[in-house]
Amino acid sequence: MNLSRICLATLAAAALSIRPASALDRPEVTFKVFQFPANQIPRVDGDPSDWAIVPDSYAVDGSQLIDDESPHVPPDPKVCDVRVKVGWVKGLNRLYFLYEATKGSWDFSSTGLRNDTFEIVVDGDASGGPLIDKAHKEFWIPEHVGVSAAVPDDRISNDEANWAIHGVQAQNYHIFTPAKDKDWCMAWGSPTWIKDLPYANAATRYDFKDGQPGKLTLEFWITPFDYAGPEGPQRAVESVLRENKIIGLSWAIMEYDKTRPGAHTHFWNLSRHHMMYGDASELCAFRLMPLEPQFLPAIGAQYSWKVVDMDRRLVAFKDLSVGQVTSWHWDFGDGTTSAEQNPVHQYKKPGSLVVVLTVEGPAGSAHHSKVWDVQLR
Amino acid sequence: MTLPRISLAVLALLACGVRPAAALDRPEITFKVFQFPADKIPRIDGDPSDWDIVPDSYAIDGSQLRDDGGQHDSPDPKTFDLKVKVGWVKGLNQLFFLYQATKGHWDFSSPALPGDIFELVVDGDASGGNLIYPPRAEPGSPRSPPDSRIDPNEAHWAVAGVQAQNYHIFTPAADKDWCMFFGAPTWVKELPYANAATRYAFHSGEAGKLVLEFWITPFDYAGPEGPQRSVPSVLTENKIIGLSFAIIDFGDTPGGRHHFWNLSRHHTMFGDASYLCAFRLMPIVPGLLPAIQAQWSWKVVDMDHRLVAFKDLSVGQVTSWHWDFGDGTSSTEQNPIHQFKRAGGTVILDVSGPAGTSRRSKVGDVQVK
Repeated sequence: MNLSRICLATLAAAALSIRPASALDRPEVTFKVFQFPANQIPRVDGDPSDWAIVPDSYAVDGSQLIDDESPHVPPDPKVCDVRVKVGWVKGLNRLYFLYEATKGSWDFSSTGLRNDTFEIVVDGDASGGPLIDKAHKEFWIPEHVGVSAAVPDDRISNDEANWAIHGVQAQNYHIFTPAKDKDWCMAWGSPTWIKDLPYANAATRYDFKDGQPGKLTLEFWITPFDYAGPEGPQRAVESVLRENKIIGLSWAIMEYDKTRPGAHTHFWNLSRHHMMYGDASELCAFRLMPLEPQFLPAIGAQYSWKVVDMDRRLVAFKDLSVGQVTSWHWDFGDGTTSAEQNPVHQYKKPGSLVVVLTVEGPAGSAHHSKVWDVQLR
Repeated sequence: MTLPRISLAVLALLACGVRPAAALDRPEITFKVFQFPADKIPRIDGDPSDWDIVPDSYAIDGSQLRDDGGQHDSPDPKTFDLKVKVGWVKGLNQLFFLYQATKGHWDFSSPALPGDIFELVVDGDASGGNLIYPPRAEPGSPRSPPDSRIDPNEAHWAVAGVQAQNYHIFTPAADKDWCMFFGAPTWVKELPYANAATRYAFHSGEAGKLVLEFWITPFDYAGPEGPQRSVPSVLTENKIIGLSFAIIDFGDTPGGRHHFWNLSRHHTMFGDASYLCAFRLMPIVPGLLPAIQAQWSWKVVDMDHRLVAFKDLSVGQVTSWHWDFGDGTSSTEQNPIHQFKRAGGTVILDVSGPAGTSRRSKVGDVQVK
């Protein structure tokens, strides 16, 4: 494609108001996902005390939500007081949630979909795009998905499209608050297996009956997938969670009114686009935060390593120490050393080595040893 | 193969003294792995209170161990008191451990291997066989010698820790990784495959109590290069796994006698999974289950015919079942097979029994095209 054709394509895309995949909703705010230390991962038991270490700056309350059907205002905290915290753990591809809500009346008597619901939509790689199938005619319209995508293709049945699209590249969970006599949620899409262990786990605490007021505490984890095949985990690809990554995420609280049968009466939405439930491009940006300083030592030695070339026994070491470090000392376990921060070392002989990194800084010194991790043939 | 030839093969095996793969060590005892409910999974923080729900019948203390490097005695609880509990969670391929030990002298000053160690060997499919290279054999046990055509370093990569795993867990680990993984796939000791936390309030050389809590993921196959070619062991209720541990103890006094307190009765269990003990993944203890609770699973048998098999997984005594398939039809079978005329919706199972009734609805899970 030459330059003039690129420009034309860009202009055409702009004319049709197709947003680029990376532009998430609400550019004015980036929500934060709290990083739990590995020794303080929340236990999913409905007891929120594990979350007391999460600062208030991470909490998302009802003032961030708007009822985008009517009357376009946040919930009144006197009748619906909600707070959500989201967490992650470096090394685990899971998102943890704490949802706490106090309401004047809870509706959960139906065995079907009608139920007070905490609906979350997550797109672990923020790749955007539709995530619900073409049976949803209100969604597949030119103003929303573009002209060509809105034209039905008679050669592809709705069922086939459902299998290929719905919940596959981003996931929507309708979490029943609370779930009485049913699964904790409806995983809205074809890969329903994502709502069971080891991919998800949930626990709820409440002491009210259907129709009564009270407080509900919902704690859960989910595993976001870049690709979740309908048939099970065998072809699925988990989203990789790493520090400072932006993921697409939104939620909405669907509230029902006992006096009004049928559809929900409120749709309190974190996104400013109602159809975020079906379009991952309309999710909000959440950043996977580094550990808060209070969970880090003033100085701590840590490193990783990778064999660059096994034939030449060439190993690259990478400093991962925390705190201010002014000098490094590597003992490679073969009688040689280095004072570089990230040395590349060539071993002369095969074997299993004890490699020790010693670091120093204003806060003192620290060591870290890995015993027989570096193995060379 | 005809019958006489089978018998000859069996006789030949017996004559050679080759044990079948399934014969684990200590046939007189089957240890128990506690099943944690999903809402009581232990948090790995070094606080043992999550384990209070584990009955004493699951605890393994020092009386089960023998010092097979020395006088073949058990540790004296007055100088070395220890207790181990093992747990699992249905749906998670992880084994959880709690190791609590009180000793007169802890040794953990070296940045290298020497020091007090809790050595754990696990074989998730109890397939037995070598897990280190070169193979270590008990005296008198038949073992083929290493093949001189295969480089020992290549053999290490193919064998060590691949089909069963050995963790040397430092108790405690000061200034080093929580364990030395004794094998080629060292990545198994990191999240999400493992996590560990330790609590102690002593210095090296001092007395005190140590609490170690961790989980590991057992692998039927763990490729050295990383998880991409690896297969976690599937943990299912009542499955027997091969497992043993030994405490490498540098003595209760400085410079004292070195011990290898072993749960297996064979010293070389550290390198041969056929010498591990049998551990059973137990069902949930009755006290943690409701008197009656409806639950079910389903599988599409034939999507072209919208044929779905339903499986009752209800808990407690159930005397009657009622399935509402959401398409206007129902069944009172326990495990019905149903052909949907059209795409399904909400399927509801109602069960009843002496303890009452229970219902389980799945909204939009059963999808047929």
